Amino acid sequence: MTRSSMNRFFAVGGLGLAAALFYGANSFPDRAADAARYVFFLAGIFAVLSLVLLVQKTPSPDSHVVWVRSPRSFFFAVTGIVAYGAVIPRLGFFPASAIFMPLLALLLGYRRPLFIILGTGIILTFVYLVFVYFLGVPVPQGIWGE
Amino acid sequence: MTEFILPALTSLLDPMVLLVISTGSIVGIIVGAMPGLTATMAVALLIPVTFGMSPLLSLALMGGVYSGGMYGGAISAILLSTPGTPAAAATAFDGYPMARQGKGGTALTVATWASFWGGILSTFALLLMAPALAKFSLRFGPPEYFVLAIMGLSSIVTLTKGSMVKGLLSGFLGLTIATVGMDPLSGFMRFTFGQMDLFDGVPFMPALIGLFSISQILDLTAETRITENIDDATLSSIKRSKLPKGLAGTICRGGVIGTIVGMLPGAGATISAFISYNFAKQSAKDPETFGKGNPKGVAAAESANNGCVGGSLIPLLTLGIPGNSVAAALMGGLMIQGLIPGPELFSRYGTLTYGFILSLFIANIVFLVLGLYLAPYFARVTSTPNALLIPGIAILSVIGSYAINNNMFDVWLMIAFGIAGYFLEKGGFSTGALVLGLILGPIAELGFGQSLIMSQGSPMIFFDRPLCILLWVITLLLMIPAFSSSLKKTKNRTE
Repeated sequence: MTRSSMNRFFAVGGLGLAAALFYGANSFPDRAADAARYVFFLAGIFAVLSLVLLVQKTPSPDSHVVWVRSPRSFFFAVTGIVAYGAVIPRLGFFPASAIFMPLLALLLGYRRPLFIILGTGIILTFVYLVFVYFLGVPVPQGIWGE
Repeated sequence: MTEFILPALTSLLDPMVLLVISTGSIVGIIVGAMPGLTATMAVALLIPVTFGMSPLLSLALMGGVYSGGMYGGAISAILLSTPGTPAAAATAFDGYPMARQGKGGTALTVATWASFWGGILSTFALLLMAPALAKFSLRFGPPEYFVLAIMGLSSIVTLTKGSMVKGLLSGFLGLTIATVGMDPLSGFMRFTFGQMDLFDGVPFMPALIGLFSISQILDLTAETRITENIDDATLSSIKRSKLPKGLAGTICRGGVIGTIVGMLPGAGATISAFISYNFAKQSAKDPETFGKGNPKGVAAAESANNGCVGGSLIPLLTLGIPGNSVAAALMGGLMIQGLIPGPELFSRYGTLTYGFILSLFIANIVFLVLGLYLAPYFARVTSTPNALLIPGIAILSVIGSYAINNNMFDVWLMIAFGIAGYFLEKGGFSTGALVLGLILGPIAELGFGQSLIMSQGSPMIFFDRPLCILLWVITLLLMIPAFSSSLKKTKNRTE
């Protein structure tokens, strides 16, 4: 995707958001007239700025946008974090983290098991001491808490 | 006042008091450095612990946590681009680029000295001018708060590195996201789609962690270390942490801004850090270096957010009005000890109150010594392989987002903000401006709505009050250099 087509893409997205805001604020009840006025104001500014972005000339030469520099690692990181979030309520925070950290480190190409185990141990001990032991945060227990 | 200073000083010589202040500062630094844990949370949790302590010990402990916590936020902001506290968000703009260049130790040293002097300046203001300054803070009404928020929002212009339109769009996107939740005036639920977790609005801390931390680790997936593309000599200099010259003016100005903004109830350390950063950039001879690792950016933000510590205690101790949420928690600690904020604190309980104020000086010295000693060791984090650092930061981001409300919804929100922030950054938008809009949105909206109610709909209320006029003038002065340089760039491009 070139920079100019990316700008057009974001401008159209901005106009869509402005329209959605305008539509949403229109359905506010009378008692929230002030709130609606503020949202109309934001929608108006959003629409104007998006239009400026749409018609604005991109400095030449029009380069390609590099969205992801290392697609493989990026994919592993995003998928790993999302899967980690999904697994926490089921497995519990500490077991999920104990699996997530070594697995993602391995997927990202790190091959020193001792440092992986040591790193995981240090992070989880630190989190346990600060968040659970001292601050009493009730971390998700998953199946172990039932 | 003088009759209380000597007994207050004597009371601080008790080794137990010194131990409690040091413990408080260390706990504060740890809490401040951890994303998701705030000084408010730490002070609130300490209140039951302080119940059995003497009033001076309890206040000194909470003061130490407050000072240390405000400084601690800078550590993770600089090294991992993960602000431990919202107030440290502006510190990351130049601190993290410095860490990427192998100057993490120097950035931490700058942050430590700036936080120290910011804290000292504001504590002096608290000690010497508290009653007079408290009266001044009461002159701020809704119109002044609205214009102050606009002044903070003018930092969007400063934070924008590339396209001004994209910078403004980012800021307005933040303001739009801030409208989610209950309307502060009518109580009407806006854009919550029936999701109860959004009734109080988009939680700020998960958004901040996502935008700064997750988006950053996604970017790091393409590199092996934070300090990549630098030679071995620079890598070995990470441990060196000499303080750059020429920061005194920036630090003093930041301390004053922090004190003034800090004593305005509801304004807070985050706004003061952004305003101070804006001032530093606009008055610099090399504004184009800001955002790329200019130590003045770190100094401006850190001196201002620590300047808020003393500032926020001015209305609390003199009028019983807490300047921010930490001061509100501290007020709980005061009242548990049977101390009612007001003039009596400075007369009947003078020795205790001045002892507390003087203990803040010691807390600043404690974090200065610790910070300077530990900065080179902390800085080594930047040479850890990213393959280990990325999952580690992800775990801290998840627990940090979760711990605020003990809610997995916040974790998902943080991940969503992180992925969206990554693509927005790649598209040339500013996540800093987005965060600013998110912070200032509620203050601006409330000030705007209340002012129009006061004036029965007339917008002239924003222009006919002396303080408003002064704030407008400062705002315009701050924006002129940024717009003129932007116009020059456009002119050069067309030529």
